[in-house]
Amino acid sequence: MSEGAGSDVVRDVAKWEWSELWKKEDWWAVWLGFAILLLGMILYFPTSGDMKVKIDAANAKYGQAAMKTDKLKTVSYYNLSDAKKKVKANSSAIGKFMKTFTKKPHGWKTNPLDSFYMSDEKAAAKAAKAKPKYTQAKAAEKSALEKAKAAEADAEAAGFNDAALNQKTKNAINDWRNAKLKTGKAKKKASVKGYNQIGWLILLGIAYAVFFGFGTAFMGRSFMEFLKGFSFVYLITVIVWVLSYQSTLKGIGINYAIWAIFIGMLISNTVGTPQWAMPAVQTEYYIKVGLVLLGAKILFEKIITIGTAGIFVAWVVTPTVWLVTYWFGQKIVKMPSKRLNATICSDMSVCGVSAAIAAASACRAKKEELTLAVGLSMVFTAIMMLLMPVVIKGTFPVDKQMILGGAWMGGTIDATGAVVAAGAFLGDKAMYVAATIKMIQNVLIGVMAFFLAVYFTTKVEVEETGHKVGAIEIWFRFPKFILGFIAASVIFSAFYSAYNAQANGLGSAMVDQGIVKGMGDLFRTWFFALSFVSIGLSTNFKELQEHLSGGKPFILYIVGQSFNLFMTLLMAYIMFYVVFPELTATI
Amino acid sequence: MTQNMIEKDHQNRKPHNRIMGWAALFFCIFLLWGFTFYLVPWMQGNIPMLGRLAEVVRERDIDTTAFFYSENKESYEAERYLNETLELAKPRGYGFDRYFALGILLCFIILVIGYRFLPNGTNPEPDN
Repeated sequence: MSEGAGSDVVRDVAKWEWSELWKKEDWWAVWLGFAILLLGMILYFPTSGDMKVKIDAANAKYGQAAMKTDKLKTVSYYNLSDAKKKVKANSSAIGKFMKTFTKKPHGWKTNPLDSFYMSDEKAAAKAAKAKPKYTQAKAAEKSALEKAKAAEADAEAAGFNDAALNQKTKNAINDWRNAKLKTGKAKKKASVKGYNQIGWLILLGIAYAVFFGFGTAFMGRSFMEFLKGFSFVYLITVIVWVLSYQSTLKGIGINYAIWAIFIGMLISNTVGTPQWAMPAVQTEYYIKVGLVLLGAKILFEKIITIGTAGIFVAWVVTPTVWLVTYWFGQKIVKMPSKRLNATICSDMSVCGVSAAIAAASACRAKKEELTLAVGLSMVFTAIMMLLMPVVIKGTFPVDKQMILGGAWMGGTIDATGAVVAAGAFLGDKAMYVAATIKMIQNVLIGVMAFFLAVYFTTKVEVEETGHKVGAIEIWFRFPKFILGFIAASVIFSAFYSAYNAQANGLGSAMVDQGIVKGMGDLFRTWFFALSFVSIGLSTNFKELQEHLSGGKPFILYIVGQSFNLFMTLLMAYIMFYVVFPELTATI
Repeated sequence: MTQNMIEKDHQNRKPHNRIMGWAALFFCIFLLWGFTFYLVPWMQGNIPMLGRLAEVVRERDIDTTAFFYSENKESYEAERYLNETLELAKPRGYGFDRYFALGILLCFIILVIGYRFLPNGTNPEPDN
C-alpha cells in the first residue's frame, strides 16, 4: 500500500486474490506454524490413552490418602502431585528425540567450548565429584520424609484438630519438600553425561534453512540465496545462545533477545553485515512463525488459576494501564510514532518482550521500534527485579509481603523469569502468586494483539492514508498471521479443556507438556532468536537514535510503569484483602 | 537499515574503515569479556542485593531470562500449587462465577471504550 501527497497520491486498491495464500509472508507464517503444531499433534496426541492410565494409576495409589483432610496437605497429597507431574507426553521416545534435535548449546561457566562438547571422561569426573553430595542429599530427604510421616501420624491421631500438631506437620512436610528439591538438583549434577552438540546443531541449521527456504521460494525469492544467507544468520544465532547460557550472565537475567540485538548490531555497525547474508535477514518472517507457535500456549483455562482476584489484577488493570499510557504518549509526550507508543505500552503493561513482539507485529512497527521497546523493557526489568523485593520487604507489613507483594511483582515486572526470581527472593508463596499473575497476563497477549491489529487497521492506517476503507480493504490490510495466532490459542485451549475433562491433569500432560513444551517452545525460541539477530544485523545506531527523540520513550515508559505500579498495588490490595480475603487466607 | 542503505554502506566502506570496523568489533568483544568475567562477578560479590538474588537464582535453578510462563518450571509449579490448594478449600472468589465473568467482561469493555476514544489522528510532528 503506498500513498503520496497532493495530486501525486498513488492508491493501491485492495483486491483479494487466492494466490495470496501461498505468496504472502503472513499466510506462510500461518502454514509453517501450523505444520509444526500439526506434527506435534500427530506425535503426541495418540499417547493420551497411556497418559490417562498413568494419571488414573496415580489417583488410585494416592488419591484417597491425599484427601483425608482439608486442614493441611499430607505426604500422600504431595506424592500424588509428584506422580502427576511426571506424566508428560514429551517424555516419550519421540519427545526425547525432538528435545535432542532442537537443543541449544549447553550452559557454561568459564570455557565456551563446554557449550558444544564435553567428553565422557570429563562428564564422569564431574558426576563423581557431585555424587557424595547427592548421596548426602538423598539421605537427608529420606530422614525428612520419616519425620514428616511421623508428624502426620500424630496429627491424624488427633483427627487433624490439634492446631499445634497440624503446624508441626506442615513444618515437617515443608522441610521434606525442601530436602527433595535439593536432592533433585544434586541428582542432576551427579548424572552429567558427555555430549557433542556440533552435529545436532548443523543438522538443525539445515532443517531450518529448508523449512524457511521452502516458503521463501514460494514467495518468489531465490531459495539458494536464502540458504547461503541463512548459514550466516544461523551461525550468529548459535553464538547468541552460547552467550545467553553463560552462567554468570544468565544469573542477572540478560536474555537471548538482548544478546541477539547486541551481537547483530555490533556486526552491522562495525564490520558490516555481509551482503550475501541479507536474503536471510528476514525479521518478520521468523517472528510471525514464532508468534503462531506462541498462540498454542495461550490457554484460556489458565486464567482461572488464582480466581477472581487474579483476573482483576491481570485483566482489568493491564488494559487500563495500556490505554491511559498510550493516550498519555499521544497527547502529552507527543510520541512521533504511534507504533512505537503502542509497542512500549504493550511491553510495559502486558508482559515484556513477548508482548512487544506480538504488538509490534500486529501494528506493523519498525524493527528499530521493537528494538527500542525490548531494550527499555530489559533495563527496567533488571532494575525492578532487584528493587521490588527489597521495597516489599522493607515497607510491607509481614503478613502482606507474600500475597500482596507477589501479586504486585507479577503484575508489574515485565519478564516471567525476572518475576519468578523476584518472587523467590521473598519466598515460595510470593513466587507462586507472582508467577501465576504473570501467567494470566501472558494469556492476555492474544486479546491485546487482536485489539491492536483491529485498531491500527481500521483507525490509524485509515487516518494515515486519509481514505475511508470498506470491509474488504480492512481484511486486505489485516495482519493475517494474527488470525493464525488466535486460532492456535482457541484450538489448543479447547484441547486443553477437553483433556482436563477426561482426567484432571491430562490437559497439562498433553498440551503443556506435549504440544507446548515438546514442540512449540522447542522451535519458537529459535525463531525469535533468528528474528532478533536479523533485527540487529539490519539496524544501525543512527537510526535507533532517531527514535529516542528527546528521551520520549523513556518518559513514556517511566510514567506508564509508575501508573502500572500504583494501579496494580491498589487493585491487588482491594481484591486480595478487601473483597476476597478468604481466597488470600487459603493460599 | 534497508537493503539499499546496506548496499551503499558496503560500497562506501574503504579499507581504512574496514580496519577500524574490525578494531571496534574486537574492542567490544574485549569489553564483553571484561563485563562477563570481572565486572558482573565483582558486582555480585559487592552489591549485597545482587549477590543474594544470584544466590536464590542459583539455589532454585531459576531461568531469569525466560519471557513466557511456559519457559519457567516454577510457573507450572505455581499453577499446580494454587490449583491444588484452592480446589481443596474452594474459597469464595475461586472458580468461574459471576464475579470472574465480570472481570473478563470489564477487560473487553475497557478495550471497546479505548477503541472508541483513542486518538486516531496522524502522528504529531516531532518537536525536536
